[in-house]
Amino acid sequence: MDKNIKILIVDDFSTMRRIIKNLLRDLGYNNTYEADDGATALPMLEAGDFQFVITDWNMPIMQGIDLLRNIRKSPKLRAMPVLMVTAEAKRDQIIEAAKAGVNGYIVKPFTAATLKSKLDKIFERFN
Amino acid sequence: MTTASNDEELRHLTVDDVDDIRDLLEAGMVDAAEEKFWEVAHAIKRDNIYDAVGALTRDLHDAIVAFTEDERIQVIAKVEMPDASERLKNIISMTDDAANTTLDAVDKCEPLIRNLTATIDSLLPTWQELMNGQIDRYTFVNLCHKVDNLINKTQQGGKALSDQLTKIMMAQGYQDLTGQMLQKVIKLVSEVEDKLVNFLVSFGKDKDAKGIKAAMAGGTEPQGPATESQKKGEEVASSQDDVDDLLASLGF
Repeated sequence: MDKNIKILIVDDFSTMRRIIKNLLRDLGYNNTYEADDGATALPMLEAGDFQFVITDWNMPIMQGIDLLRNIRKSPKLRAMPVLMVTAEAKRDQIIEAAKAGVNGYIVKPFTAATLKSKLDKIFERFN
Repeated sequence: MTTASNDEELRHLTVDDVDDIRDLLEAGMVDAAEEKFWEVAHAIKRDNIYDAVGALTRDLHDAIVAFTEDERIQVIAKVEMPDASERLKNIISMTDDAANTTLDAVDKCEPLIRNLTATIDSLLPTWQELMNGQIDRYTFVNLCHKVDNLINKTQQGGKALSDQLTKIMMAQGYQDLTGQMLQKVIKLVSEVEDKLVNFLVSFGKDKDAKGIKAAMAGGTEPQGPATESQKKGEEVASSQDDVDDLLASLGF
């Protein structure tokens, strides 16, 4: 996978954005950007040339699940791979995310190895 | 048919009522007897409802008065609840600070390690020559200077690394502090829960509040991190493996 792909990290907690950013950097992905909720992320995605989104679920204004639905509705963004990294662990929620078209689902707290394996799996499918 | 529509008719059953009905039946006026029976029955029924509502209202009034006059409730509402909110906000800010302090320290450590590794990598070929006895005097002197430089850099780097590790260690103090704050909040929540449960129980409501819990469990609204007791239930995936299994069953 091209390590220079443009990634958007969406989480309302800056520390979690930072942790994900650092983990991605350790994996060789340096081209990362941040947004603090879905409402901020969506216009960035529409305007930019992002290739991958990592999003939390529980955020103010626009939640991750709604961001995912908007991405799937958008003619420009609908094929964008989306990885959800969230503390939401109810089975119904995971099923809802799957139905909405999520490409991977990680529950917090997570490890660097989990993030790597999910990224590898998603990128393998998209290549 | 007349019904109990005014205060005069709100009363208990009397011997006269029974006599009237018997007289009508004896006179063969069954319809009139039945009409009289229902008239009396309605009056009595209305009466009982008013009694029940009255009793319930008195109980409710007494419970509310007891609840509002309870000094603990006053203290909880006016002092401890705002204090608990403040503590919870404080916990967010303390954990935020600790995480950022730790991440800052990691950011400072990484270039130190990278430099050290790069210096060693650059020394290795000449070092190998020395170990194989294939080194000339000029290269040897040059190597000595490089090793000297490495020793100095390592000494400084070691001190800097140690400082950052201490910072990381000290930042973990948030766990102790926030833990204490959370314990206080938990104690308060338990006390309020007990008081509310007592309030409900005094009206004969479900003691284990199953209905409330069932209502709260529904839907896919964000819940935040699952608690240990939630993870033991079937509703919540308890690990990443559970999540993966569930997604695999959906064809992922």
